[in-house]
Amino acid sequence: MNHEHIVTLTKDYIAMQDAELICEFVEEAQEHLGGIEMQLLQVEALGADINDDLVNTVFRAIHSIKGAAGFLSLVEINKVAHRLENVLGKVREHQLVPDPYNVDVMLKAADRLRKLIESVDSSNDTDNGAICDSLDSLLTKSDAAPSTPAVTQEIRVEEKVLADESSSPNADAIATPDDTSERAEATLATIKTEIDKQVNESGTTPKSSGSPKAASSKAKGSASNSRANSSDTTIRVGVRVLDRLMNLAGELVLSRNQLLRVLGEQSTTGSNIDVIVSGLDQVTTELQETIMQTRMQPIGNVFNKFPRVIRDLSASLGKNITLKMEGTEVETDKTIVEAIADPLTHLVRNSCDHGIETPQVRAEAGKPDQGTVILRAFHKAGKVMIEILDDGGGMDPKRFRANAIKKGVLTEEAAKQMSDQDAVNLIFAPGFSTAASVTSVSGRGVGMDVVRTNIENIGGSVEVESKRGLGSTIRITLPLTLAIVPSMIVSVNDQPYALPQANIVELVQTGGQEKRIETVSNSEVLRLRGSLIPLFRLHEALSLRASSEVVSREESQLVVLEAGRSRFAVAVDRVLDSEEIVVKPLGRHLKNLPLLAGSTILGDGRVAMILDAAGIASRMAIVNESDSPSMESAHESMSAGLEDKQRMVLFSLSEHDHFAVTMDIVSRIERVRREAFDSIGDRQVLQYRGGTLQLLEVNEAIPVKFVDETEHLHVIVFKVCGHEVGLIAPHLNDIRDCDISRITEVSGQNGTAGVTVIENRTTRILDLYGITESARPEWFARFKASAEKDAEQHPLRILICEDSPFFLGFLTRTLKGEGHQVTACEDGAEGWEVLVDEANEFDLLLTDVEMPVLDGLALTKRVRDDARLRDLPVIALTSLADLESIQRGQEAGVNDYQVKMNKPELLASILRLTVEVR
Amino acid sequence: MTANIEATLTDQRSETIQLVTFRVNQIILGVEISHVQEINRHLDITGVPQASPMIHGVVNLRGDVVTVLDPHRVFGIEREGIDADQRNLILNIDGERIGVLVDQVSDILTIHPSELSRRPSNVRSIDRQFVESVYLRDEEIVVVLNAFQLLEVVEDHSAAAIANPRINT
Repeated sequence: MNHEHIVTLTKDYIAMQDAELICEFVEEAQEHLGGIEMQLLQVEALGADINDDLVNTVFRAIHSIKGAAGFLSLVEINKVAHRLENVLGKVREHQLVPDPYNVDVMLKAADRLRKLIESVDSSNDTDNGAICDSLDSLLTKSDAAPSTPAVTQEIRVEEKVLADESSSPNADAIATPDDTSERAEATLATIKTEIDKQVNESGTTPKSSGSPKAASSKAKGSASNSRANSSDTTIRVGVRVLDRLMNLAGELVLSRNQLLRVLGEQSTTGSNIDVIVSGLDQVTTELQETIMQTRMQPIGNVFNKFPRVIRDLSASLGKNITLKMEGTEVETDKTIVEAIADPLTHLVRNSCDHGIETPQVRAEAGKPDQGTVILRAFHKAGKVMIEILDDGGGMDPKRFRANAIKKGVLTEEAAKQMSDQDAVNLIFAPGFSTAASVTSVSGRGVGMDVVRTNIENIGGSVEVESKRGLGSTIRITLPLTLAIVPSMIVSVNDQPYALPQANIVELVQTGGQEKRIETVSNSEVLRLRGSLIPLFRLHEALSLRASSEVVSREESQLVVLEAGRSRFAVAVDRVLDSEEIVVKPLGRHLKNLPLLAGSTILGDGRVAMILDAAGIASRMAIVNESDSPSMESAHESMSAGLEDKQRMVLFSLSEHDHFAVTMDIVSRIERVRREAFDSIGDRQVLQYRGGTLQLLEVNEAIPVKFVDETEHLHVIVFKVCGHEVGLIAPHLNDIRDCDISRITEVSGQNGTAGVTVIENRTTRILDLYGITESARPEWFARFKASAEKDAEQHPLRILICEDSPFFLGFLTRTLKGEGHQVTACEDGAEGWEVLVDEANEFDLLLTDVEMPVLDGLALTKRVRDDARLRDLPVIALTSLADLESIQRGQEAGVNDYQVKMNKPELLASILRLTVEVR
Repeated sequence: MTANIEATLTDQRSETIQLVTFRVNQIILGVEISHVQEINRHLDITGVPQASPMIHGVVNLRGDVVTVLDPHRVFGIEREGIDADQRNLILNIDGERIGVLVDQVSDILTIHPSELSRRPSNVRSIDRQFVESVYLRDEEIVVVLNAFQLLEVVEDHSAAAIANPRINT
């Protein structure tokens, strides 16, 4: 995914890009102009009572046309749009009252633009001096009107900066306000041509030659060529047809859900209708997925316009910038690809304009002359990420804070407390703009807040990270698709609500254990694995009246959500189901409710609101969790008790057979439909993520009374001997910490590690590796043959340090079973005493990492520092090893890491490390 | 619609117009039939958190989610219990669909435009801004609604609700 691809700008490439860009520009501009007439008329109707939003809409439309025309060297369109923008700018600043005469001129200008765009190829040959003059005259008219001195001054300042930025020797030519900007732009244009010339001569950056017209006609030829070649395998289909198909597939999914639900309620039928329905179900799912695919487009479609953009920007800004693009093949929904184009353009321009420094500045800072902007797209956790990296000057949090205070965005106190990271993210706050300058590149006042709004409108988020002097990274997170959202349906006050899976981190069942919920300064928090997460009652967040049937606090379920960088939990009455929902837009009256992301129709025909996690977070004013490290550690120590707590996955095959698996060795849990299973020979497998997952059933290894046939199954995925295996769990009950200190061992059953009582149910704790060994002995043959023989011939003396009696017992039994001599200790300190006393009595140390008194790593350090013990092999036992702890372990001197219950690999590792002993 | 009625009023040869009339508490209201898409009994309305109190909620109209208004709250008419004859009147105003949960749908009147009196000053039962015209049927007054205004006012209100959610609580 990360293979880099540096785009070479050949002449043809540029030419082709031009033709495509011009086509796109025409489409886009026509769309923009489409609404303008109506909007201008509305502006006129309102008169002095200016509607800022409306004016802004018109302003932005003209602004985009101006910008794009500028890049495409459509000078006349650019000129007219620029003048019109100036006028609209005045209206926006309430310095020009839109009277019929003014609006008439603006309408004429819009008409002219439309005409120019209709015949875009010849637009540069037209003369638009008259319309420009009449637009300019509106400006002088408004200047004559009294305006506050402060405003005037601001304009002057901006223009001065503009002139300075052009770094031209003529920059001191500040005359009257209205001709300065023109002159500055003229200067910019001169510089641009000069640089173009130089660049051309030196040949460092390949560029197009000839007029744009020639280029575009050339491009037309090549475009038609390529079309002819590819016509064998592709066919052009109208987007409208696809959209319609998409909607129909959505409706089919709904009908399918309804059918499944009805049949589920009458499960007694037993006729072959079930087979028909499951066939329908499969076809529907595939149909839906295939139609979704037709809408997927590579993000490269957007990226491809940036080589040109960067090239032109380098020239006009007098900077030396290269662009690298990665992940252009990453695909996402067409709607998203289209919607991201504008914000992305703005961000890239911003990086070039404000991020990358001029060559002199770079040289002074000891950086290479050439600045680099990297555009990178990749998939992460079911989302598409786009990063814009620059190696420019970075952003100055101090300046941001000062600016925020000045503009009244923040109080001085709040600014002081704000972290640097949060401060640079102020760039996205409304009414906030870093540069006081107006350049033709990054625009005037069409700010980063608009960029953020646009990204959020398509369900994405954006944030920035910056290191002063080193550069900035802007990170955009986007959903894969807009139309169908895998969601969890929850119920509050007997009403269903949908929570998008993308926001859900995990479900937590309190199961009567209210002690996990604590109150810190009047607000509730959830203690989850040592960290504290803010908790809200969803009915409060939604301002619902308390329900008639009040679900007690104890019974409510908690959903941990993530929105942007904030993480929080909401309490709901019940978690109903997970469903792939089709998003239905809400009518205009309900569109702007911040807590809702839309609505959907559930399988039973009911309407459910889709909740917006970000909206809830901002309503609840959630602060970042990183703000409370002291609380975390306090609770960490509190939770350490005398019990043997292990995090267990609890599941049942039926009401008679309950099982638990320690979470430490579980890679993940998948929820699948039974029909998704395939079989190879007599083995069940699951095809997914392009691979095949081998499946095991508990009853293949140990006797059970009954296995329920359920429609949905959970598959508990773990790794053994290099194979990924899924254990089938019909009912997944919970994942939580269980006290397994009072465990009864059962002997003679390979696959069961013991029996205990959890929630009044007799629960068997499974040894996943044991089960696998019983069911798939062939996988273990390799390990077994060597390990067993050796153990018999060379029994080893092994010291085990492990604070959990359960694991200690398990390990002791396992290793004794292999014929080794085992000494067991309950913590590192006890182990150390034994080692010191009998330094030469052991061939191997097996130690847990997390232990009271003296932990495994400290113990290892002591071993390595002791001359007699220096060479003792040490294996650290851990849950699913994370890289960080492995590294810490290696620093301490650990020879190997093994997962606690992974018997075969543990034995192999012991064998490896003790070769010399034998 | 204003333009419409004006046109029909001035055009003497024009055809008759049809009004769908309905009851909200004791008030008889009417709306031009061209704005009425359907009348149904979709009363399973899903509430929308934080929406304007003028909005009952939303219903599933054959796969589309349609907003349903509470006419009592919109027009400021008192509510007296829940009527067994409640109907969901689905309006289609320039392609925008919106439901109105009325207490009873009465009948369809076919009248001549000249029988309508425009903007009468004597209608006090509901806000004047919604009143397009009135029609006298026997002893009863039928208030003919301006459907467009209906959309606009609710919109204003929901905007206010966002600005200050407390208004509604």
